[in-house]
Amino acid sequence: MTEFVQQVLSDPTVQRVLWLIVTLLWSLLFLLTSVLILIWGERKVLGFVQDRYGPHHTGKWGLLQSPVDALKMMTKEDVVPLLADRVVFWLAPIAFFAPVLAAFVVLPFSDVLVGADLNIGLIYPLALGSIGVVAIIAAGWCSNSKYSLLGAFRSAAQMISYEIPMVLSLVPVLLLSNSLSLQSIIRQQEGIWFILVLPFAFLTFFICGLAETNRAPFDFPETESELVAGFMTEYSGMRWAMFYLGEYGNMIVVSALAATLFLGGWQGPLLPGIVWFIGKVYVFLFIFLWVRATLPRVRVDQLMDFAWKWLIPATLLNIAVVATLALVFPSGYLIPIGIANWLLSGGFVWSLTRYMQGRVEKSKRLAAAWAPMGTAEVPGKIVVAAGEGVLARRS
Amino acid sequence: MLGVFQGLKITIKHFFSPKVTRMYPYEKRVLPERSRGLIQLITEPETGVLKCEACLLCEKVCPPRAITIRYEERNAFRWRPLARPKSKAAYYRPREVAAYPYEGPRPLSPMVLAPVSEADGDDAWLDGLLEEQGDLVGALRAIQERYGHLPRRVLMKLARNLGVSVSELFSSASLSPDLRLDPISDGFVAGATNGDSSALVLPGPQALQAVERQPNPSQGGGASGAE
Repeated sequence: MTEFVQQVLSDPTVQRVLWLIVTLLWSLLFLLTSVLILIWGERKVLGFVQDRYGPHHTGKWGLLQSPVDALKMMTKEDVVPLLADRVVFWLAPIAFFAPVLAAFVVLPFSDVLVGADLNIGLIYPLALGSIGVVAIIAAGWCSNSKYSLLGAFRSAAQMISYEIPMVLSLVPVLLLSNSLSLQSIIRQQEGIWFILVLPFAFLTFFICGLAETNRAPFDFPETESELVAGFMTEYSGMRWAMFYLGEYGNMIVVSALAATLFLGGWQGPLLPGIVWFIGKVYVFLFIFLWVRATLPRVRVDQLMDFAWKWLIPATLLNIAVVATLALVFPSGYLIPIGIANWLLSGGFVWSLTRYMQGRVEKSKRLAAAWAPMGTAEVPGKIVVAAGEGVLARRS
Repeated sequence: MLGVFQGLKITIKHFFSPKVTRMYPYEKRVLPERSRGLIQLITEPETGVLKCEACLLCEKVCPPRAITIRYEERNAFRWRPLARPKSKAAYYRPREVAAYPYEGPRPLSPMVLAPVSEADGDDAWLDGLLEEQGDLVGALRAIQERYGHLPRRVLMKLARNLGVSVSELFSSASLSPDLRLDPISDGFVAGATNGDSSALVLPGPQALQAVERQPNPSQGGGASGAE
């Protein structure tokens, strides 16, 4: 009997499956714990930024707030709207959460603790990320509610738009590392982290990550002020919590990708690799929360403008620059690429600032032109941009 | 885009700055002993209409009796117009309240100027009053029986005897509907020459002048001016 067990255990396929189960359990543990920490952390960070304390009643520093919330979620009634498509309604949260969990398989927590070091490791989580759109559309459609449907359609438009620049922004990383395997990308960064060489790629990747995970300032699928909760409006209890888990899991995946591709993954001195990796992931998660505490939501047209008129051309330009420099300087191309990338980042920030200032000045000019009509006298009134011809005729 | 980074800078500064939250039930502000909070008449910002409903509770509980509320019922009960003959429901139009908290003369706080009441004189009977009556309300009732209301000076004396603050006695007295803090009269009129409320709410020197202008209490009979 023991011989049989030993024989079975020595089979590489069985070992592979067992290892996958171990890493999956670890991923689940990490995901659930991180989500609990993140929900608490988000409320704390928002509170601290707004000069208040955030939750502090339940447990020390309010640490028990998330577990208590989770208990509440699990004990809540599972309400299904009367006219909803029940099957899809039940499946959509699972379809939203499952790809997020599946994406954890390739995340390299350390040099050994990785479910599978796929040779398409970079494509795989991005591909799984786009499955989330299907679940969101399903949730919005089957809820039979206008808010849900609007949120779902917005989400579809947003995620499809931002997936393109997201993948494009990662191409320079591939050009430098010559590999799609995450472990080999990490090993490429032993000398220097890619965030120092490719800051522009990182900037665009992170902005797209914000949009992909539906986080502020791009939280259109669940605009609370306009669409109640977007595609999650009709959900309650544990099904709603699944969406929540999926959203935070998406954040963790994007942060882990950013840490892997730009901050050298699990590499670091003294401490074990897993600590470094989790620490780097949490740095990015904090930036997620920080950005949410800072920026208001953009408009839908601004969202689309930014993706198609700014991010996609910019990432394409970045690819062209990096590829050209890598060809021109076959040996030691890191320094010229680094210089070019820092210049590109500066140029991007500067031109975007100028563009936005121009928009503001234009609206101010229009407001001044309309002042005799009494438009600008109302404080806080938004002046609708009118055509030049109208202005000329009025004056 | 630069603005984004500026915003991030500001928020991270606030992240580390000291918090302004006051943990209210556990952490209370230290207020003066006689403080009853901020007395303020609030208007609705949109309309400018006073939010006061003229319930007169503030007037009743104010220890130094610095508040006077007058009101008039502008819009009373009305029948609904018979646009729909079936509907016989009546409705109230909102009552418009005119509150005059600081308008006109009013009694002075006993802490500023102690008016002398007709209870001037022998207070020796107060000494064993509490033991005699058994409880505070009984003692207050005995005082009211004797003077017709609760004169402030007597209350102050009683408070000194009991070792409590006057405002505590006032609040106890104002909770009981049959205890009167004022003599039965039409209230305070300009000049405040009737009863024991013989002063105006005015800045210190003016108040003294106003008291001096009053008729001589010994000749006027009943009321006596503050010394």
